[in-house]
Amino acid sequence: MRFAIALAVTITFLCPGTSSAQTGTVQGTVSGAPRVRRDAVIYLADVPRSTSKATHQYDQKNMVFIPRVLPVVRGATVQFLNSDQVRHNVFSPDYEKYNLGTWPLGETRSYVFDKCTGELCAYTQLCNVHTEMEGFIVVLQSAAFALVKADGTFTIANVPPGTWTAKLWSPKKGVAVPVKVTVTAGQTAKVTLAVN
Amino acid sequence: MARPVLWLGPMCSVTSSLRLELPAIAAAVMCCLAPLDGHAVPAFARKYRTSCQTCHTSFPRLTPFGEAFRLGGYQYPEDDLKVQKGRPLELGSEKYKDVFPDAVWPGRIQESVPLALRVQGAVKFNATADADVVDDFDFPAVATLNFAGTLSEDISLWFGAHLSVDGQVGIDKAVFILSNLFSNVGVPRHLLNVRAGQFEPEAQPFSAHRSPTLSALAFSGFRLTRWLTSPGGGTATAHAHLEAAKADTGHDATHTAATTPAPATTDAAATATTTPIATGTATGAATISGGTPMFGLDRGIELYGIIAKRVLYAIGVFNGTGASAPVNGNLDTNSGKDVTGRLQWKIGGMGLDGSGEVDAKNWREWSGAIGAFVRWGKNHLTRVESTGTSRSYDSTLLRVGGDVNVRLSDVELTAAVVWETQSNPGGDEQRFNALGWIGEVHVVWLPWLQSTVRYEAVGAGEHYAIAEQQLVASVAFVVRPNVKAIVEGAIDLRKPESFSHGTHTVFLGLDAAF
Repeated sequence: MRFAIALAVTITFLCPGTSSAQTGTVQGTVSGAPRVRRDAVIYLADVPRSTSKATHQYDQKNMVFIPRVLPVVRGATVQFLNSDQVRHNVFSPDYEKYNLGTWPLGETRSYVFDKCTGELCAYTQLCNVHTEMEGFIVVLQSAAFALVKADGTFTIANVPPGTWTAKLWSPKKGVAVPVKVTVTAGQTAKVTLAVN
Repeated sequence: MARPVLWLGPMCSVTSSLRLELPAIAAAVMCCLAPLDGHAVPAFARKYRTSCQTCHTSFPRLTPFGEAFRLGGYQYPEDDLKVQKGRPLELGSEKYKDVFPDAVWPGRIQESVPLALRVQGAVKFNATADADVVDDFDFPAVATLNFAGTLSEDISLWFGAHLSVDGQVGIDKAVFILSNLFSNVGVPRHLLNVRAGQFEPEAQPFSAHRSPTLSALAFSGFRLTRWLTSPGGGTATAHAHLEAAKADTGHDATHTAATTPAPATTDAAATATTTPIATGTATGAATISGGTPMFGLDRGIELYGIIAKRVLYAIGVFNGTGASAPVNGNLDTNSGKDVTGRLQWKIGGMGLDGSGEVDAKNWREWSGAIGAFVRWGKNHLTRVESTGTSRSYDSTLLRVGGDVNVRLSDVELTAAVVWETQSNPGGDEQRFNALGWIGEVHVVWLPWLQSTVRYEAVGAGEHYAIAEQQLVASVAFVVRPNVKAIVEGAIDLRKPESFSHGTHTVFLGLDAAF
């Protein structure tokens, strides 16, 4: 019994991500071109990799993909909806490439994003019926990411302690110099990325 | 001396003896409008939400960046999309570039239609003492409607049409431009561009369209072949005039009003049966119906680009030095096509591709550019003799020249020399030559106060007797970025015996674009 309690305590303190008290938060701001930071994703590139079995929904409504950018952890399943009265198609020309076909209102299609090997894979979502439609499913190797808000701020919660590299991905051309950020358990680290 | 009744520019005065010659007058009126033709396009200002003065000093004169914008196909040389503050309308996701050829290459257009209107006019005082009419409220004189913008990335269209106060309508510059060809497969940006349509070839040192003065460039309307036109047809008469004039006054002799008619103003189709010499409307600013002005609009295709940021090259094929009557519905009046070429090298200042630093006062830079250009064409002509018989012959044209442009902070100096020879324009195996030169000083005294002084001379004939010679001094008050007032004087320096000599003119002009 004592051994079991000791083991539980040890695991609680040593395993990252199992308790918010043992993780930190990264808060920050993206400065620069609003066009670039809009729908951008901030992620910590070198956080230990993990996978996810979560299922996310990705809609097509009023002839746009909603949300425009959906970040997920590798292994996640995305269920594609169609909430329009017209038929929509979904395909991506990126990486392994896929075409989920064309379907009417109310039907769904699913795809498992488990093939990404890089630190980030951005799959452009296109509809070959309506060529102006464009969305992105961004596959990352850990949950240490956040979407940048309209005002340029972001918050990444449950970050394991350590020194990590914050990077920016944006659907628009533009880059930000990666920034090192040190995370301490129970504390909030501040970081600013500037878009060129 | 014939009495000019109204000022129509250096090539376009109409004498009282011609008052009833309506076709000539109509064409001359078109010529009159030429000085007022030019381009400044608020459609670009709207697209980029920027001031006209990003590209212009005294519009339509260009700043170094404006020149890079023009050469870039009327788009920002780099990252055009980034600097468009207005959101373009996407015609397909950018990602379809990766899907091509299984999808149409995507594009984007401006949400606003890229139209702009320019209205120009002037109060003119003709200083000729014996004229019946010495002043004229020529305002508004002409309105120009320009559609100018990018149809998509690297595909541009400029279509300009003018409407004058007398109801004349015409097409000005009308050109498609494909920029940065093959840049997506590794060809450097700015290296390969092509344009097709009606436009000023790069193979000329001065742009009539971008001149800040109200007075036309004398070069714009000067066509050696038309200068030789005479009622009897052929160059023999012109030779005789020249010889006679030389006997009186030496090498500066000019053809006189008594023996040589006004420059032809009817179109090539009408004159080809009476004279073998190319004619056409008076300038390249409006309709092109044959003949090749030294500067002006031409119809053709031109490949051009920038090498290593500093060297501009251009190679073109254009409708030629026509004199034959158009047939089969063709616009070209030449049996062949003219080929053109140009090289320019710029040292210092902003690169031709827009690279490099910009002074806070963006017209300023210390730079020099030297250029050379050539045009060659061959024409097969059929001449109808007075007896009614016809005979055929060939004539070639060779035009070469050089130009220098120096920017010394607020001062811009430009000079050019052009030499032209035609081997047999009259069908009598007589070669005719022409030589012209032009010098201009443009000074930005203050951002809203600028001056231009220009001298031009064009000579023709065996000894380059002066055919055109004028001095223009102009002061522009840029009262708003898109509105300017102009005070200008144009002095006709031709000899007293010249046709329509002495049509000195003072302009009080207004030029507005929106």
